[in-house]
Amino acid sequence: MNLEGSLDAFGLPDVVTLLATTGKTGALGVRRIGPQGPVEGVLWFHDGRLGGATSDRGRAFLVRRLVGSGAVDDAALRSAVARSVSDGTGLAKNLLDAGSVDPELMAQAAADQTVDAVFDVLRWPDGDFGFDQAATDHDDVGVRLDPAAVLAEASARIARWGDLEALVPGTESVLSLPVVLADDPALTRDEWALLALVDGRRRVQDLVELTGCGHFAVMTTVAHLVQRGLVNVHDSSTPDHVGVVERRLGLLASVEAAPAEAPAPRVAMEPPAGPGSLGMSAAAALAAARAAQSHAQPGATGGRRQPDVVPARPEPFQPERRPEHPEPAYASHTAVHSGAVTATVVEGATARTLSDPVAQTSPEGAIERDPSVNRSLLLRLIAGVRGL
Amino acid sequence: MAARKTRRQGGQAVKIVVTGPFAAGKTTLIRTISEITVLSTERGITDETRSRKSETTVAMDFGRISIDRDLVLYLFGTPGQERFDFMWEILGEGMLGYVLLIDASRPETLEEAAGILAAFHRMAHVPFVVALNRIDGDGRIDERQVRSFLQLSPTTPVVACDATSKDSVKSVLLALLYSVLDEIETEAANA
Repeated sequence: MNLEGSLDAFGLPDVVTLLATTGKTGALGVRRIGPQGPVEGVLWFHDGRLGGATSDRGRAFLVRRLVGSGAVDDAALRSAVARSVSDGTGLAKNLLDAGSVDPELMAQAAADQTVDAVFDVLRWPDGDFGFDQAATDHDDVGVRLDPAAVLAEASARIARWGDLEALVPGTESVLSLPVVLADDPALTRDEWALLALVDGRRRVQDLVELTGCGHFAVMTTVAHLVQRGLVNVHDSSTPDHVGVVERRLGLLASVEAAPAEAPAPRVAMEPPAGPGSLGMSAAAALAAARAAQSHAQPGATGGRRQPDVVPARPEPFQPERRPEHPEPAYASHTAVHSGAVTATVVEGATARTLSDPVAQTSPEGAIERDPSVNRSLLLRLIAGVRGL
Repeated sequence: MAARKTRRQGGQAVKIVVTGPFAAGKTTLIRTISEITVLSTERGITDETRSRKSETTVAMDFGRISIDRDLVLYLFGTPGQERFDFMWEILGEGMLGYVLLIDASRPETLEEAAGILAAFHRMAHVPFVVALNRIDGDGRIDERQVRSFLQLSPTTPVVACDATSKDSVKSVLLALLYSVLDEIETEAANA
């Protein structure tokens, strides 16, 4: 590290100007401890010119921008990712080298990304920097930008950012569409493209990632939409028209007829039997039980297919079974239904007789599931955990 | 005990408890998936269990997963030694379900696991999954042995788990969440 210090003491514009005027080549790393943990960014210099930048090295912002704009197809992206993983080369450069992205589009995206990154870092309230002359940019796509022009554009955005935040508090703001408009809407295609992604749950940050546009561009468009009453910044005071209508419709339930479909008889979930089932894995047994259960659900056998709104379950996650002894058929299940039994002896564990099988008792006064936990909440939890 | 809904700043919080025998990997599991530094009060072990690990959790582990802006999933780990089992009911209050974590390389802990499972079953009517940590290697107990020893229903998920792997821990949590979902859908169908 040849040059390092605190951004509080030596601001980013000063450091960038110094490296530009001395014609340096290398990586200017910037780092801060953010609310979610440490964040590291980097500005790449080539003979004093800016060759690219990111405000978070952990994210492939440039390629996300290309993906969001629809410039990269699945095959090209899959191939570029595979190559990056195997040899450590840059993802954007791989796309460029493979001819998967138009060079002009790549140059424009890289320039936009660089300005956005400098704009992001300029908004950091604190942080450190360090310049490394030996560092190599493995994702150099060939752009060479005038640092002074980039700083000027980023600084101009900073000046306008306050006005935007007056309309949209920040990139964590959740956006929703108003149900009722005062006038007929008039939109540009760019505004429509953004509006189509607003679903009452997504944040501004999500739109940034989905569109591939930077924070400033998205915030500017959202602020214009908010100003014209076409988008709401969701908070506790936002009128929930759908919720109000649903609540009122719910009041009709007691006077409206119940669905005519009679529930099908439930299928008892007996354990699989017979020699062929002895080798059945728990995952397969569970799948069979679930299949039997689904056939028993009302409507499942009536020819009308229920919409599949439950996220797909993960693949069965079971180890390959290595039986160490002849396996009886589901002793545990027998135990549950027949009362006291002797549990299977496992090497190292004490054999025991259970007169009170754990699956049988259910005394009064025990902890019950939180009544506020419903199907909708579960689906949100499942989607959230899957997305981790 | 009445169920309790925990809310924070207008959002909703739900809770999963991670329990299991001493040194099964509960603290590791929570640390692997939590987005925050896990609160864990660990102390040196002074009794005969010291040969297994030098420190154990004497209060609780606490992890957080932000599902979205208004929904947070908390993970609570139970203390690792029996003399702290008075905390189980406190930790279990209002839980969505629980994970019984077992070290597959230590069959001798199955007895303790069965005791914990019996205690939790007496304490709570909520779904649970059994997760087998450190499943790879010779001489490990397998899913079928665990099912048999704990007398589990065929519908109770038993999943292999590497408590140090985020994907693996996700699979455990998803198995539990799907079990809760199944229970809710079954209740709705029977209503």
